Amino acid sequence: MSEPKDSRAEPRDAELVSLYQGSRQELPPAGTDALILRAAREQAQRSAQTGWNWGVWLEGWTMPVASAAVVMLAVAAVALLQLQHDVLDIHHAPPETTVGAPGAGAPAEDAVAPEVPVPAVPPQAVAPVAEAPLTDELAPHRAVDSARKPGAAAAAKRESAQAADAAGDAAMSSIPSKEAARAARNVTAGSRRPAASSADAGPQSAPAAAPRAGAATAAPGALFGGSASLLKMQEAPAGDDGSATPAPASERPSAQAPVLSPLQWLYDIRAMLDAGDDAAARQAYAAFSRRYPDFPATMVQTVLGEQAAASLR
Amino acid sequence: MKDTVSDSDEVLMQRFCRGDAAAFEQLYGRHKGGVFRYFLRQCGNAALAEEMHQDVWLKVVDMAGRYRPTARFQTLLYTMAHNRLVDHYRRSANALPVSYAANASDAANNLPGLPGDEPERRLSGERDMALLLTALADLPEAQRETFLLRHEAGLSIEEIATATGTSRETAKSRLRYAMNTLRRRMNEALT
Repeated sequence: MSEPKDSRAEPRDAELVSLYQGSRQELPPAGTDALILRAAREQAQRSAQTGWNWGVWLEGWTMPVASAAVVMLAVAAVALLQLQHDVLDIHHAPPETTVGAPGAGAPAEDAVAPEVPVPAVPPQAVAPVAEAPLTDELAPHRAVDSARKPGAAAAAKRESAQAADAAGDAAMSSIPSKEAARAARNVTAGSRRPAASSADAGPQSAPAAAPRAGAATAAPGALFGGSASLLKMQEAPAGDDGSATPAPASERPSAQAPVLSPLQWLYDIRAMLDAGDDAAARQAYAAFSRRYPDFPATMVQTVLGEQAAASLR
Repeated sequence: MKDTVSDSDEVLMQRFCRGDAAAFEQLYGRHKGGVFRYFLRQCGNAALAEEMHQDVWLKVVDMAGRYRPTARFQTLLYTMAHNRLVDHYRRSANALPVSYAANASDAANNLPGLPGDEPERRLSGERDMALLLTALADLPEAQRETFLLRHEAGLSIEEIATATGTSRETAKSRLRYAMNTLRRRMNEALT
């Protein structure tokens, strides 16, 4: 039987392909091979000396992983720096930052003023809101200063009576404590104005110069120099009727008097000791001990010094 | 044929990029014949095919520092070969390839006559090959290239489209036309 003509006339694709693949015999000349391979060896030597192929590296999985790692490290570093900054900020923050002002949501039980007489000042100009809180925070200093002056006891009595009159004044409650903290921080940073200029600037500018935060490092004169205008007002003669001039609304203490934090209190006591007023310091420390009976002794020693702390006890 | 046990072309190329010359030798040994025959069939001139073959492989060597295995190495290799061929056509006044009979292939140099001239009409394997190569040489350039890329280089339709810069349908159509023409030519030669 003869082969079907159709299959012979129409070879299938597979037969054609097989036939073609059987014809694949041609190869490049050996000289061409040698030239190409020599060039390849030279290139390989260069690549080996370079030791790194960025193309392969970029293409692989290392690039995204490395990028993600770099980003994570950067974020972690920023977070760490921020945390460190916050910690330092807290550490260097003046005691005012821990004052629990009622307006700032502090617990009501903390809003108890220390047993320090609060002076009254004449009702002259209304102080700016931002500077007002420092006025009352100077109360311990005023008390110390007034205690050092002749006739301090009588003046303290007058001030106590006026402080009672000033109770209920809500102006102080609206004063943001952050302003006080910022002002005190400025003082700590060395932007404290000279005492003389503060005294000349009048009652409104005196609180801003109060060096409460720098009490531990400032000289006693500088410590109390900022409140010179207040002292002037305290020493001002009484009215014709013998009564003291009422304090301005912004400087009158309210029923929700600012609260001294323990550290702030200790700094004040240390300021008293630095000023040589051991009696007032002892009195303030006694009040402190009653207010904070469980306060760590090591912290007290740290702030006041071991000898001073021992002497106050 | 490619050794499936050994490394792939892409791995060999990456090894070469890291300075392994032996990897390139292995890679070159796999594909040197296919590339050379691609040029030989397309341009119809052994010397020209050798020159273009050398150019393409030297480009592969120079590519070592920039190689990125985004596609099959063969697709990349034949894309470079296609571009080199197109450059040749553009420079040459006679862009169409010459007849296969002028080439260095022994089989092509010993072309048989037409089947009707033979006293016996039984063709040997060599004669069938020669007929097929002749028919292939007479194919239109694009169809011949598609045939070579499919059955010489082993590229898929998609890879052929990538290498030649055409659509998949165009590559598929060219391959179908090429196969039909070859069948018809072989049929004419054998009857």
